Amino acid sequence: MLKAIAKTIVALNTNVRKEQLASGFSWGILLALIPTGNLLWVFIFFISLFPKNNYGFQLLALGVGKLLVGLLSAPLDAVGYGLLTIPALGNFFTYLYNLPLAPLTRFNNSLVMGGLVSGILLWVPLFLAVRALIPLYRNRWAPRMRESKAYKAFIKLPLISALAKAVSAAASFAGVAP
Amino acid sequence: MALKVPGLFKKPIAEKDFEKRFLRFIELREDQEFLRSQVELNNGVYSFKPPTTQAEAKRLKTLARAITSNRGIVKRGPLILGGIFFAALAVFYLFLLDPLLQGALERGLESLFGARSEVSAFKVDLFRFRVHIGDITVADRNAPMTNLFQIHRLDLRLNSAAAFRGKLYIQEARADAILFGTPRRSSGALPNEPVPSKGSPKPKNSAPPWVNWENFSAQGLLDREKDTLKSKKAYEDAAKAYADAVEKWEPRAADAENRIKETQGSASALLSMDVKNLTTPGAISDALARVQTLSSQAQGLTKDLDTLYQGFQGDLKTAMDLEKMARLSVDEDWARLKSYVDPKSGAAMEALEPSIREILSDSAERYVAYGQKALDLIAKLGLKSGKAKTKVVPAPRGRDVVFPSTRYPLFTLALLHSDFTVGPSSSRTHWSIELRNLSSDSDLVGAPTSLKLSVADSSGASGSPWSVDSSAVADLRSAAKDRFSLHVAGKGLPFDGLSSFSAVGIGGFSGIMDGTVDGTGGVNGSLAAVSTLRITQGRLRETSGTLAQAVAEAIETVPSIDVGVRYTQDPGQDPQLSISTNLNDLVQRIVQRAMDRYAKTAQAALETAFKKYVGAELENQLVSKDDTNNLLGTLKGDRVSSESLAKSLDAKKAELENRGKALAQDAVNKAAGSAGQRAADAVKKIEVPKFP
Repeated sequence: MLKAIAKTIVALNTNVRKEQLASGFSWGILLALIPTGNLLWVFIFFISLFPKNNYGFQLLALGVGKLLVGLLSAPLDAVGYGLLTIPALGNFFTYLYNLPLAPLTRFNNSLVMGGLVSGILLWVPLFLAVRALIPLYRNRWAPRMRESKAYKAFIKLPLISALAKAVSAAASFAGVAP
Repeated sequence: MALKVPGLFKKPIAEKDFEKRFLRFIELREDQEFLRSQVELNNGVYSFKPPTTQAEAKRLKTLARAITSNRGIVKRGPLILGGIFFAALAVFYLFLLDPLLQGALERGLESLFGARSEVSAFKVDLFRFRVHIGDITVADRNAPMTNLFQIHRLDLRLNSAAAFRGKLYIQEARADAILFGTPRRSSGALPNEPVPSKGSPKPKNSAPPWVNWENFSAQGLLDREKDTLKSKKAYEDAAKAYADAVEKWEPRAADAENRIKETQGSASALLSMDVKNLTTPGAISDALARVQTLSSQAQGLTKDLDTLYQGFQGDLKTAMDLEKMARLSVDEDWARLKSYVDPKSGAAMEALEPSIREILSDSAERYVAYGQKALDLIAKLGLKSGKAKTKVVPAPRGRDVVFPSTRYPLFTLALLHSDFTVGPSSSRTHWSIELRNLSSDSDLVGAPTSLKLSVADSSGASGSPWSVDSSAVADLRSAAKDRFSLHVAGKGLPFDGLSSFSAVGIGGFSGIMDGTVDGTGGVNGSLAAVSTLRITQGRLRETSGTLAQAVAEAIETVPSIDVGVRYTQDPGQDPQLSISTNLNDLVQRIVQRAMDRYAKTAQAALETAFKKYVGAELENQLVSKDDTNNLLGTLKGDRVSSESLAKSLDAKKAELENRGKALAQDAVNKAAGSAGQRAADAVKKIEVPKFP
């Protein structure tokens, strides 16, 4: 996690494209919303490896999202169960259920279905929102933050100091001064 | 040394392209500004200036790398790794999967059948879910130089939905040929798998000596049957009963006799005594007491002898009853022996029946064993069924919505069929095999396992065209009424056998057989089979002896031999096999004619031999009977002596009592003759003995 945070900080403060960061965040949230231990999660994770998104940001979003997704269990379950029990979709789901690999995705679980649908629906808004926020951070918040006394005090904390060293190392590897 | 511009920036670039290809991929403003500062515009074309410091060179290099990594939307690394992964999968699929599965199938077959198994040309098509196998050869564990079965060119069509759920569901299997019992060039025994021993062969029934009356030997028949005669054991039992009775009662009788002698000795002096010599009341009283004691002893002895006599008589009666039964069994044995030389008794077929039963039992046992093996195999599949799997995979939280779906057993062979012709062109045999619904869980398949097998030879190479059609159903469903059923119908089958009847003078038998076999097996393990066979053009070969010749003659006079066989076996009971044939009456009639010539002489000889045997061997066993008679006489004599003694003692007792009374009367008289009170006192002083 520490590595993911370091990579994210490096990515935010270097020339990594904001679209890559935004897509990494969206993929991470999508994966966080879907319960693990099924073929669907593995498939989405595998697919998320191919687009140029930032893995650090993706892992950070996934980790933080997994910690918080328990709070969203009830609405996700309601969404998933509501979808799975729509009579008009019954035939489609039955067909899907009888396909060779489909049952291994556990799509018939309310949390899986709810997480998948919510993640897909949230993907684009999250992408756009993060993409819009990154320039603000880079051009406005980051310079101000770096100049603030609180930041300077904060950066001297032992844990943060270790993190800063990791970021420096990552940044120097990337050839960028943070 | 002059500092170099990174390769990406070496080439001059148009003004609008500079924005599109470089600046667009730089996110930080200060870096954009720096990049702009590093170019100079000449005729609308940007070209990079050589960096002046190491820092500038390094920064340019970093920016060049950032621009490169920010271009495009797909990552090359994972794509290459994915490509390598799929290439490895393809290599595995194309070159390794088939040999691996072929080896696994061979090992599986070897473990299942306990003999060497060979699989060749195994090819799996994962895209079409088909499997092709060139040859499968499985050796017979019990006969390593023979194959249990061979399958040529087997094509399997698998159910993809079941396969993805970890189930093997063969929708259709087609084989070009399935052969059984073909010879092998090398042994099929596995190195660490011992060949099961067949056990010692069952003793065959030897032919009875009378089947050839021309050489009939009464003594031979008697000697052969002696151990099976009832009378032998009955006489042994009777003799033993007599001997036991003597052994049990003789010591007690001797003891009683001794006691009588002792009592007689003691009583002889008393009995010979003259009571008139006793003149005093004391002497009378003393003698009376001794008589009384001896009388009680004699009476007790008489009672004991009664008990002895009754007990001995009881045992004697048992022995005599056994003797009576032994004599009756002699009559029975004679009737039985006589029936062997009396064709009217129907013993001819009875004698043959054990041999027929042996042949039929061997065949039936072999096919029942095959059937049992098949049922065991199906049951073994059932044991491995997924139904027994109770492992619960923890589900993620949330609710599972279950949609209607098809459940698959762990293993299912929906259809295996094969039509093929074997043999040289002169005698080609056509086989047709159709096996349906072989499954590890028949309940899920919803249908029983069924097998249809047809074999036909229309070439007529064996004399006439023949065919066998059979259908078998094995139902392992939980609600099945019967465990299996079987129907076999044969037509025009050339039959050549019965070489094992040589002992009764039949070298062999040939004919054309039509018939059916119907069998069922209950869920409780019961078996029932009925067979009706009709043999035409029957001929016996190399016949010798009266019976064989009679049978041969009988066969030639009938248009067909009809045989009915019924086999039943209930759980926990011995199997029952009954055979009926239309030859019984025929053989009897023909044997009757032969009897006219030989049977009377044979009967007389047999009677003489049997009587001699009864007199010399059986009756002699009853020697203990004389001892019992002697003992009975002794007991009777002892009882009489004992009674007589008791009576004598009673008489002596009465005599003594009378003597006492007489003495008392004399004393009274004497006192009356004297006078007075003295006499009366004197009389009073006389002590009159008291009698019990």
